[in-house]
Amino acid sequence: MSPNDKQNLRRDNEPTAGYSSVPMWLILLLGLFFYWGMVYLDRNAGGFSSKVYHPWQNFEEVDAAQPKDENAKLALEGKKVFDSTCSLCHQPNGLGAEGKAPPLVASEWVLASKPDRIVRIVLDGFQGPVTVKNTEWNLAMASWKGTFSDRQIAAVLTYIRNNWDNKAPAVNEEQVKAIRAKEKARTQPWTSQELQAVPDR
Amino acid sequence: MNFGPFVFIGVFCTMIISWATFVFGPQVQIGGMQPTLTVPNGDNYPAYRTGAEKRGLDVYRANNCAACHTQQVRPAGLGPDLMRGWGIRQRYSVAEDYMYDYPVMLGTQRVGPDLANVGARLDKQIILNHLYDARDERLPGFVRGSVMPPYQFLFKKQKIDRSPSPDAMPVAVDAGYEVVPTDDAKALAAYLAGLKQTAYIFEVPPPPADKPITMRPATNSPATPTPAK
Repeated sequence: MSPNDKQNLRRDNEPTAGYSSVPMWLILLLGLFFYWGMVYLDRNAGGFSSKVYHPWQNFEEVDAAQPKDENAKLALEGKKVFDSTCSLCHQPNGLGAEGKAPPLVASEWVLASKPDRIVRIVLDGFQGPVTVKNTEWNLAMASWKGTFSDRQIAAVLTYIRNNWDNKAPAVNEEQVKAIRAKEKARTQPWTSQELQAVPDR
Repeated sequence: MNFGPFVFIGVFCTMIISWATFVFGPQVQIGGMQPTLTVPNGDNYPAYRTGAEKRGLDVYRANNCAACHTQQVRPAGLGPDLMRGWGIRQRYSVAEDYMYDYPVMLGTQRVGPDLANVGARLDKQIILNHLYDARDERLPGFVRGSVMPPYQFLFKKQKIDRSPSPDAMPVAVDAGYEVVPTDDAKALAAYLAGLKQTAYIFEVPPPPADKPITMRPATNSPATPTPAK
């Protein structure tokens, strides 16, 4: 140890622990970073919605990007009705089943240009012999007047008219509403003969 | 001076913040996830994995496939996955895709290609060939220079009993013998062939009609089976 070092040792005080305040500029910088982070989250987190992924900024944008087709939307609602109710007899593939229900696929009743007959069938039911695709059927279908709303009936008919290989104009709520009002007094299911009198084109 | 309380509060806050962001937040966000419908057809999504596929997931896990393969296609802007053709028809991965998987084999490293859509790119036999030996140029679907190790312990050599087995591998072995995949290999191939994230749902709506979908072949993977030499 040199004499100089000895002098230094003597001169320096014992080290002590103490406090010194965080500099103001550091607090401001952190605050700025925090602010920027929050702004970034606000802009890019999509409102923390689980439905919003990166290219989209918010839920409304994703919603607006969905394929826009009112009839497709109606048909989608109809699918729910069909799957829960109609498919039990008409089968999920729409081909019907012996002793249950006639087919809907390529059926001339379903594909008629005006839906007046099928709307009546769904509203009040059907019974008795009927020819579908050159085959004789003799079964009964229940009335769905009290179960489904006009929109639901329009939806399910739009669905069966545009699903599988079917292609026919959509059915809208007003058409069902009009026919429901017109046939208000009816209590019996329709028969093939009665329906032949209703124009379908 | 006693710093105990300060240390405790600091550690406690750190734990609470990470719990809130990594456990509680995601639980609030996607904890109540429900099956959804595809757009615009309205089919149920996702589909359950079959028994073989579920078993294949265990084989996938047991052989640590996730060490080199991911199963996640990131959206445009978060990575080049869509540009590499891993997302079929510009379809990126969303939470619903993994709904019925446990555990979810997302993976972190991409030594090999992403497998989120491997079932849409390769068929079962190509996958089996790849597992047997990815570099063997005599096997259809080989990848030249692949670094994937052969998983030949998933196959067994057996004596041909009367007639060759229908799932015998197209490899040459001793006369009178054949190589067939074990149940594990079959399950793994079934699982991989079932990995398809191709349906559009609400979170990934189909691209608009005026922006046509551009198909790019997946890079770093045998997009089209290479014919055997």
